Amino acid sequence: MLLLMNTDRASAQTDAITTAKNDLITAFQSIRTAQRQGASNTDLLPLINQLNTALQYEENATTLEQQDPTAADANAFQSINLSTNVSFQAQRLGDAAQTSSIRRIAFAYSIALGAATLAALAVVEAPRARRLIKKRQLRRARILPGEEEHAK
Amino acid sequence: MQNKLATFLILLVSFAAIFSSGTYYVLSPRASQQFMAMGVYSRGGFLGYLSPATNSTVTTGRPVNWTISVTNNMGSAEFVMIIVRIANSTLSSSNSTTPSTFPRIVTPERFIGDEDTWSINFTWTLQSATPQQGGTLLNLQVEGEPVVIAGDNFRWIFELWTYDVVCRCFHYGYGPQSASTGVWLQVWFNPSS
Repeated sequence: MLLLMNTDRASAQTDAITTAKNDLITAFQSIRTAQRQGASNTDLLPLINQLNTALQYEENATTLEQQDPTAADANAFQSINLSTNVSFQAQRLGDAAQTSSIRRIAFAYSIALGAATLAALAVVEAPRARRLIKKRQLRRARILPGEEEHAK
Repeated sequence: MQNKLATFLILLVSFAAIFSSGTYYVLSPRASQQFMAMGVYSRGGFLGYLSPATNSTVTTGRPVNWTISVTNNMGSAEFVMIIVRIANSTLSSSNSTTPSTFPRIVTPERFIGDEDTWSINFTWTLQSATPQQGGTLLNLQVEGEPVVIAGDNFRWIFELWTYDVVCRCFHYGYGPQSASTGVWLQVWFNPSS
């Protein structure tokens, strides 16, 4: 019975350490995804530091697995908590970066399309504009009859 | 009127193409070479490089403190492992494609952000150097752990390994596993009792 309990305990620890290792990789992948979505290095740096702390806890758990199972468990769970938090934060940062990136791209292409429309209008309406300007110039210019000019 | 509309549409399409291309160019990320670099530095002024150096004599009992630094410029975060090996003349060193097969002594791991550098201390002490048939027997203390090696032409080998999310494993060098670039350094030393 005691042997069975010990086996169960060892298995639980191994499970916690395996979960900690898997969660570290999941968090790492979340950071990479956030980076691809446009999150900045400055925003991601605190998450990478947290992930390194989680890695430290996981390494401690692995070292303590045989000597001190309770401490190993505690370290593994600390690592899992930190990694889960990093994954969540990275996803949030990634989503925010993607939304902002989509907005920026949409704005830039709208400006480009607006400029194209204005340029096309300017070219098409250029002759009419030229005619209008000429007309205005003619109206403004004072036309004096030739006789009056000579009489003076 | 119809001619005018057709001209307008043709011009609009042409200008839209030109301006969109310009926008795409402006918005595209600039191309940059991806690389990872590794360096070993000595605070005590002792380092032999690619060949046995004149100042590489290590005396017993004196701790040697080195700093290993890894720089990540891959455009994304990297999960890195440094494998430190102790080597003698029996096997070949690492090269740009294949890691060495000498025993691993320490294997520190770390997540490194893009454009970030990781520095780690590496401390070792030569405890004893005993001449014997076919070379010397060395007793070392590396990061608090005892290490024994016999032979001649002693050197430390430092290899950079990176984590591949596809195979979920570390592989030698950086870049995709199928076409990775090996990064390694070796530091020779002459044991002196």
